[in-house]
Amino acid sequence: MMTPHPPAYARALLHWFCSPDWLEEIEGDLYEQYQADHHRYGPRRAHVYYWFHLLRFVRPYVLRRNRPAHAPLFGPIMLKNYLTIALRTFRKNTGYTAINITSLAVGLACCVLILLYVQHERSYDRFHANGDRIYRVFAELRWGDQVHEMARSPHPLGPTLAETVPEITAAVRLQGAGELVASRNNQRFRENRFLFADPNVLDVFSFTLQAGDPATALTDPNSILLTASTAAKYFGTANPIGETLDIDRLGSLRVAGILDDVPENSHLQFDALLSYTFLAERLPTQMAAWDNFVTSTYLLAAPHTDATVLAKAIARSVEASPHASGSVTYGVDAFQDIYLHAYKDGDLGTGSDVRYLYLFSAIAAFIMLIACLTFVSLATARATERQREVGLRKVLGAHRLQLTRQFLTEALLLTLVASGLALLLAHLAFPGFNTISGKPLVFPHSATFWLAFIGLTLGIGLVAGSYPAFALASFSPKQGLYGAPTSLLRGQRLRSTLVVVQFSLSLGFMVSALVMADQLQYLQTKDLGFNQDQVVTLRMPPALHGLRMERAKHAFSQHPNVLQASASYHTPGAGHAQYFSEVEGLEKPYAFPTYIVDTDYLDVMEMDMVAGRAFSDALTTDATAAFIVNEAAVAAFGWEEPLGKRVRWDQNKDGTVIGVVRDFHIASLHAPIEPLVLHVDPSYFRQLSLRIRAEDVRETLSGLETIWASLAPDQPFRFAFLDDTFAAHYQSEQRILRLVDYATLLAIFIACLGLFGLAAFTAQRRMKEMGIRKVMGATVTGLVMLQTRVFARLVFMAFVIATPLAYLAMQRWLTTFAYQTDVQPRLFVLAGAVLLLLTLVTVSVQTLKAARANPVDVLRHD
Amino acid sequence: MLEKPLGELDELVLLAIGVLREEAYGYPIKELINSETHRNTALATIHAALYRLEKRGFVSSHLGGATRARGGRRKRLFTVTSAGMQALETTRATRERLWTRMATG
Repeated sequence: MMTPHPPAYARALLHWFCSPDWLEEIEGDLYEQYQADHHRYGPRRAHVYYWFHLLRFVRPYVLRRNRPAHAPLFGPIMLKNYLTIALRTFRKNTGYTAINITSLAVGLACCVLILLYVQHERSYDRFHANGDRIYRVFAELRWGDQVHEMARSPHPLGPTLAETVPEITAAVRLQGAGELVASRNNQRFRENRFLFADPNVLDVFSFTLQAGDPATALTDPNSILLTASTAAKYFGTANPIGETLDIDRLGSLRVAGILDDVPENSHLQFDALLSYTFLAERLPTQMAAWDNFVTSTYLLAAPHTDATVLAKAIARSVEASPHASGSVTYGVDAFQDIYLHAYKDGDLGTGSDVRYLYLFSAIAAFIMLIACLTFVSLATARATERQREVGLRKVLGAHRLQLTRQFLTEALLLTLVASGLALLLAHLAFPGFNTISGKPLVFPHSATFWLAFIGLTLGIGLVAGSYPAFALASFSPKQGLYGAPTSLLRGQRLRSTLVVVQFSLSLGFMVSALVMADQLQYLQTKDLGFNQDQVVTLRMPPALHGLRMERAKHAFSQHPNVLQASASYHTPGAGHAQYFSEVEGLEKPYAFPTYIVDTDYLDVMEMDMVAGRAFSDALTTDATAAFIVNEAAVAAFGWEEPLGKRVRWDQNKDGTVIGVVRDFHIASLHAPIEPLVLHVDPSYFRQLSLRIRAEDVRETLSGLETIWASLAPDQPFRFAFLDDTFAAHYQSEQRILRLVDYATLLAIFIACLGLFGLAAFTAQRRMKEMGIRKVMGATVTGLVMLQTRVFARLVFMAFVIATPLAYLAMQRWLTTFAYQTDVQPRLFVLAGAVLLLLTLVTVSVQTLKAARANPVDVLRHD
Repeated sequence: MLEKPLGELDELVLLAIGVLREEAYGYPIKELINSETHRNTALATIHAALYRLEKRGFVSSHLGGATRARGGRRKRLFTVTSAGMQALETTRATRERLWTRMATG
């Protein structure tokens, strides 16, 4: 009968925890016990008893006292030796070292840039001392079934809430002053960043006053506070306090103080503050109106007030007020959330989206991943060359942990060098990156950044280096010293997987870039429903608004290159207004986006009518009682016969529908086309749209400027091209596209670097094999093809993996556009082909070198 | 050297070593004690007691005698030192004193 054996796992456990001093006798005794039990109770119970007895031995005196590596994991003792070996290794294989350092440096540089960007974005509005107590009011307006959120409120709301709600300490209203011209001693500038502010603005927000008395700075209606750069613009180095600045439409204002320039990371930006009391004085009726949503109201809550408590208190106060209206409710957003999360229609300043941060971080993470994979891949490939070293060290008494320490040190050293290079690269890349991101980033000073960077470097070094370190350290001396170097297959499958992952990510990037470019192209060339080329739009000064526009229109039409001119309230792509209107067939009033135009508008824009007729000068009723709607309106209202339907616009203009215009876009293609109504009303005219000849544009513009000067001599000439206005909507998409393009290039670059190194290594190892094959009659071409076939297969696998994922991701992105292209299969094929080509070229180049070698030389030493 | 009596297990172990003479190591000691006391003391307990006794100087040990029965592993053989004998004597004396008092008191 075979000698029964105790359970192997238990024995292994014993070997693990038991100190070598007692191991032999304890194991022996346990063995005897086991034999006896086996004899008495049979094998199964004997096994169980063995475990029991074994575990009883887990006592302090039995457990291993000193771990083999006596020094802690990163002690200083062997460090010098490790460093020397590391440097020697690097010098011996400069190629691989260079590849590793480069790819890590590029990855780290990307991380640095993205880190700075994210940090910058998240720092917005944090400088306000009361920042976490400030809230911005928004209004929810209900019309029928439509709800619209706006970051605007009526003028009286702020002060009323400050009085009636105990949780509110103070209320500040800010309102843009629009476009004005300010002048001082014949220096005139057009300004559009002046804000009206309640006098307590400096108490609530942390905009610091350089000069002037904060208590009285804005109490006087005619006072104005300038930022330092604005003051310099008008007054140079002279002290402007007490001096006057003339503002057209407002009069002369006295400079009561100088403010520090608004920091860049504030979503509110302004060049000067005017006093709200000015508005209260000049426009008392408007200030008391509750149905006008023009101003932005900010509330300072009492300390430790909960946001929901605040919102409820406000709701109660509003309900109780005599001005309550069923169609308006108010809510609050935390001020510091606005920039990234809660930017709404009507908000002052600019907003961004937190999703950009996620996107950019993801891109940086992917690139870093590719770089790390390259590192791991190359390190494990070269492992076989260090077998001898590892074997010798083990024979001389090194433990696995010590060896791991050594290899980790090497990895960290590489990473440190890479990080230095990364900082240099990031520094060089700043200007370009800032153009893409639109933020002025500078080389970091903050301690948090450096801590994060060092942490990142160490982390990457450890993470990327740990697998190779463990793998290398586990080589047994026997393998290293006696046998021939282990066959190439060791770790091959892992490396192949890594390469596939890298390729998948690269493919993902490529496809994304291509799809985005495609969509953007589509957006920019899609038929908008009108002809946006060669149209110049002019915002006329108030002196020429309304009925006086006719003169200007006539003047501009005289220019030989102006084909046709038209006046209107709005132009496509630059906003629109909605007006409450009663529509035949609808029970409740409808909030109608409206374009107020003249009779030439449809011609100038080259819009087509699909039913009825356009406005005409011949019929006087066209100006007073005629409406044109678009196809979307007809569909929305369920009109079978649109012509003749009655509309009561803004509850005071009655008329009938005389025509239906083909749908056209009034906003970016993010939004679907909504119902739209057009009518003629010269009193609303504010803009001119001119269709000009395609040739001699510059001459035309200077001619227009001359005409402008004759009409409005004291107003600077400003114009825009309609197609530019539309293109501006896609600015953020264009930015992302640029970023993705660069990221793609980097990703491919790093992946190819890795591939380059890997191919070189593989080819070298295979030299003997190739020599033999050549002797047997293989050609150089045949050998190259043999090698490339292996890698081509990897590309194919990556393609199979990446394609469905990329497809899904891109589909989701496209759904954010109301008008989208399809994800074209040819883009995938293109990406795959490019990657395949790159791979083949890279691998061939390396293999060629090795394949050309003379078999005699290669096989000589076997 | 303490003049205090030994704990019960320690005393039993020392006695067992004395009984077993040459073959006094973990397993037989355990078997002997268990068969005499009709208890089921674990091997590990005995081993711990042996370790304690050696630390206190009451036994001395050496490795030797690998047999096939143990899968080729050597045993640690124990012998009682003179100090150990002394400790046993002290323990026994204490017990007998109490026995005497019980009988005569």
